[in-house]
Amino acid sequence: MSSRLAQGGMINRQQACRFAFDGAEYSGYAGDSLASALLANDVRLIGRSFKYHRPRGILSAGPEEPNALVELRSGARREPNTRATDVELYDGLQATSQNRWPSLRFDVQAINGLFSPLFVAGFYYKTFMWPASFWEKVYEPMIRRAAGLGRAALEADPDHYEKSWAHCDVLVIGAGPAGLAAALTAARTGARVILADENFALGGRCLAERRTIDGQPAADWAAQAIAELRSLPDVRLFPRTTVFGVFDDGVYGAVERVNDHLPVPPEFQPRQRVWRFIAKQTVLASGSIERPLVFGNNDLPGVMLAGAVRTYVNRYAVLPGRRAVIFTDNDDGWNTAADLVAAGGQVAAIVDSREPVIVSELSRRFPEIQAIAGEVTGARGGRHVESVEVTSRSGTSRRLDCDLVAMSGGWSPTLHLTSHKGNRPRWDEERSIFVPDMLPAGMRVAGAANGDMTLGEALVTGFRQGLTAAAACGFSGSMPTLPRVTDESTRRVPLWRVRQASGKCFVDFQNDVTADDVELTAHEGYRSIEHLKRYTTLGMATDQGKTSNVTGIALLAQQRSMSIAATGTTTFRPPYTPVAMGALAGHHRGMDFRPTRYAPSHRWASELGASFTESGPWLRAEWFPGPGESAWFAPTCREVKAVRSAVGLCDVSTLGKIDVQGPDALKLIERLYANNFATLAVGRARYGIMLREDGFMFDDGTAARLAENRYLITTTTSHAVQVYQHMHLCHQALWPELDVQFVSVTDQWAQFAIAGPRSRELLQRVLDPQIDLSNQAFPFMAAGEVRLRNGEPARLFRISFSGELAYEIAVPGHDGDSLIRALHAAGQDLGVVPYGLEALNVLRVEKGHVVGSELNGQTTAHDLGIGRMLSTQKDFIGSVLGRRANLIDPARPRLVGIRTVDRNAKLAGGMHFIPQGAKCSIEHDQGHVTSVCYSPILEQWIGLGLLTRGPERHGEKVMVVDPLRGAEALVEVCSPVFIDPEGARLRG
Amino acid sequence: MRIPCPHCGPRTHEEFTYYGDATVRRPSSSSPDAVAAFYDYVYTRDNPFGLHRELWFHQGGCHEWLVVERDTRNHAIKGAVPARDVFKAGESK
Amino acid sequence: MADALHFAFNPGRLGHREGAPGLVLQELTQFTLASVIACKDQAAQAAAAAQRAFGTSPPMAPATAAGNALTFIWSGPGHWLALGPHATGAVEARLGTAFGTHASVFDQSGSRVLLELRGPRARDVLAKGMSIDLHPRAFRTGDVAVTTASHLAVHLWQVADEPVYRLLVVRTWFDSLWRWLAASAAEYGCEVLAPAPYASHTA
Ligand SMILES: [Zn+2]
Repeated sequence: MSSRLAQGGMINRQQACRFAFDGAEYSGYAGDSLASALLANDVRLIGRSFKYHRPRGILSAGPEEPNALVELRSGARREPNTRATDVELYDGLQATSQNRWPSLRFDVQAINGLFSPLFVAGFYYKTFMWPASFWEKVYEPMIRRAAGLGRAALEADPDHYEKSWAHCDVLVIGAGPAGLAAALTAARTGARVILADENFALGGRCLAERRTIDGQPAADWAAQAIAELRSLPDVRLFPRTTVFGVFDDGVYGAVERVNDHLPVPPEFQPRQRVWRFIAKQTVLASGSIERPLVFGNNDLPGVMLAGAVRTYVNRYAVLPGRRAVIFTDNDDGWNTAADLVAAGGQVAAIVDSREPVIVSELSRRFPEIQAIAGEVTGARGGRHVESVEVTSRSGTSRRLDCDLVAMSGGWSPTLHLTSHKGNRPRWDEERSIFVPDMLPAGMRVAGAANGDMTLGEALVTGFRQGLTAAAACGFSGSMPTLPRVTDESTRRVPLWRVRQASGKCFVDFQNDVTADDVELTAHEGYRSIEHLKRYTTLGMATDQGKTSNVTGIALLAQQRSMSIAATGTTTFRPPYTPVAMGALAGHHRGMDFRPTRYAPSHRWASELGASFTESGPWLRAEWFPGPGESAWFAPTCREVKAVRSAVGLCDVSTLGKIDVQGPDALKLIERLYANNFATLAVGRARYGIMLREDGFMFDDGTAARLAENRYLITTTTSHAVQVYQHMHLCHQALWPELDVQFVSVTDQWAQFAIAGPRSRELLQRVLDPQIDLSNQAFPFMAAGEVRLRNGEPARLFRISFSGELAYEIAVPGHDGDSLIRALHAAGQDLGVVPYGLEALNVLRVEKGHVVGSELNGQTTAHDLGIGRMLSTQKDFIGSVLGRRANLIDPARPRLVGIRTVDRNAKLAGGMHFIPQGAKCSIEHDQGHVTSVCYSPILEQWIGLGLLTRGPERHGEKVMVVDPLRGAEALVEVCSPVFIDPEGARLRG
Repeated sequence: MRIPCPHCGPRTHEEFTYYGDATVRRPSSSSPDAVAAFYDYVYTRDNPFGLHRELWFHQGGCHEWLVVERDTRNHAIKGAVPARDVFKAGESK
Repeated sequence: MADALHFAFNPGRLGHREGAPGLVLQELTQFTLASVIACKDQAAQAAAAAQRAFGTSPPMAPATAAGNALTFIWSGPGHWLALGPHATGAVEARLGTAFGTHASVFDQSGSRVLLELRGPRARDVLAKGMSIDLHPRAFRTGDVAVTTASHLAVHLWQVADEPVYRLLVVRTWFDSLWRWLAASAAEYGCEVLAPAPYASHTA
């Protein structure tokens, strides 16, 4: 049994496509949608509804489809909620019905329908109110099982997605008659044109209607238009591309289904591509969507939109039913009869809800078909429509056997994209449609999307809007001769619901919202259309109410005895149809989620087997495991000991570096740093602190004076970008009078720390032997230019983060790899070890240096024990508010060191200070532990913390607690400098 | 959203970093009411419904600070000028 | 070499294998690069100094200007990158002498990786990560864009109508840029040529 017509349609009968639905094998043709192929195979039952699990079939032939949602493909490529009406058939396609258990034909939850009073409008709010504990354990799992809309794949998507940008003068959205006309006139002017259409075939309703343009079939006219557009160099055609969102300043989001029509994308090709079109002007030619009529059991499979019936017959050569009843409130519905009859179908009756005089006038076109002025009150059937109840205006009822109901409640402009920027459409009472009103800047609307419903109007407005849009971009052209088309009538007398229905009358099919639900909402006092939407969920499903919104509004208006114009409408938001998260992410997922920055020594470190960790965007070595060592503890302790006893190497290139030059360089430096730099001599470096204007700590680092008017600033790794922006703000907005020039040189210099008592020896081996590294010639905090043994220039700084005798040496970025290898090789007999971030952290905690855990945005210089550094002699960023009494209050939590009283006890970052004997509660909280480490030198856990009145409490014992993990320890408060408090080592 | 950088041309907003109100001016730190003046400068902001002049940094482009005039109701951008020009002229609200 | 650290950046064919490659990519090495920033109100004097020393005026709008031994690449108002073949002697000293008190000079020779991109699909590849309009009506030979590619700051300029582009990216970001370029070019096929000295590509 097949419903495929013997001839006609835009399918390729030479190219058969085998496919499976719920495991059963079928066959269709290239050019079919999944829906048309299912109908051709007489598959009418496609899914179950959201709330009541009612049987559902195919309502439409396009993106508005609320019922025929399927899971496409399987395994990792499974994609839920795809509309069978939009899915392009391909050989090997696998689809599965959704929302049914255990099977589509027998669904146990269909009894929800029997308990439907439970599921009326607002059922979530009314039914599941009490007791609260039931939510988690009973209601939610139950609702989730019952109300799912398909299942996402659990495995990672194996396919590749990407994003791209495209610019144009004129973007035309929709390639139906209006869009093709607009693209033609715009493109002929020489403007750059992009034409996008969601369907795999361009042409829109030219492909679906038996109409002629200039005496030839509309589809042929469309094919010629497309051929002309293809021949123009600055026109880009995008079939299979849904423009899903309108954003600011002419930016449009679109998703191109590059390879969704294949089981697996060809190698190296993406499955989907998200486009951002940047258009100077846009012509929206998105057409219109037909409205269902509201009668009993109007959701039964076999009840379809009349325009969709014509699409299946004319475009896909499928007869969706053998004996049809047409139910309409407008003239256009009657066209369906002619198409069905021409295709060999039978039309049992045309039921028209309008005045008998209109009906008898129209029925002269179809003398052989029974025309009834009346209403279909209800459809009947089990899993498919078998008959309808018809009540004529005179009151007589009869039953008509049929297997197809083609209904038409008129057409609504597809104006979603006109309202993405918050503009509401306007109700046109005369035509009973919402039409676009205020438009996003640069947008024009043509054809049915603007309420110009006939083919003739679509072509005229398309030509005109294409031309006007091009003109707005500075291109001129002229209107073409208008093609001849036959007249159409779009007369309509809206029927929002039938007067006496038998059975549930659905308004929103996807969310199972009935006309009764809408009316109940009105009875319960809801006036606003926004409340109707949220209370009933009307229009909230994945279809955003494409077929239901207008009817819902009209029914609410009727109930409230208000006009539709006064009732208003909700606005639409992107996306127009759902977009996969993978497509939105594009290339940027997994390790490409965000860019990664590799330090200059990365290759060398990976060859040594270093373990790496993320530090902001950087990937940095955290430790270098030695033979037989595992995890972090052993290598970290070994690295720390080596630095304290011999020499270690560490890549510190990640610190931000900013080179500052110009006559006013010092003035800028003085205003950026809170401490004094005026006295810094050429060839010396100094530790500096920067505040925010609110007086809190911003960043710290060193600044070296390289020449009279030249300084090199270093920042922390994490604040490099912010400091650089801040400096530009200070220069460009606060003090534009300063003659100072600066630029980031973070990447110009690969910089390595050489730390430990034997660092001088090691360094000497790679430097020009002429260079004197003695304390007299190059003392602590010296800075200068040096030469390597091979003659290449380098910069040398005698600064120390570890507290040991230490240097930092910098060479141009591309020489970093060779220098670190040279240092490593040269120091083997000195016991040189590479050390990573973990050892670096231990070394600095032992020395009491603060980092991000202490510079946490809430601490002041005073809190960190460096308040004395703040200059009182100059204006600098933060100088005024930093002096506020509250910020220098000794009772603030301030920096201390802590060591465990029990040498075997452990510490954890984030533990809170509680006085001994006090209850562990918020009132007794005296601050928290910011950094901890096991010190291999002290052979116990130590830490830094911010403790109320901390510096006054050295020697005191307090508890540190972690109530979350149930840990606690007794610690002794001490100076934050654990190692060499006099600084003898680093000056050695 | 696209910001017309006066140096680079129109660019997508992802290239820019937002900072905030461009109408406030750093007070003198030596005036007797400096603390109050700085308090206002740092913390007190209007919340305009309509056109707002704000600082944006072209981080992904020319590294210049811009004063952008943006309508807070709909993100419509009226224009952008170099912050250097605005602040050099000593222009205030 | 570009220190490609994680992802293979080696000569050879990547992605789609049939036919001519859509993108041909080559790293140019052995160049000197410096930031030149005009001193306060000295942009015109700095340009005049460059004209005297290098026979070309650094552009005041996003463009390149090629002089003898150096090309100036606009980088911002009063801010240029000076690119030339590797030469002995410190670039800061050479340029510093030429610009005198009119501009400050910062050596950046080690900071960037320089790529040359050509091929029939070069525009399509770049459009996958760059929001600027590269259509010949909007971006021509000699034009410069300081912008982002796959979220990374780059300088891009066109050196021939074919089109041929050059792109500078910060060295430590190069690996991420390359991963994006390789993924974006895969569907068209990408030929990576062995690195060549910058001087060999500038007659
Ligand atoms: Zn810019």
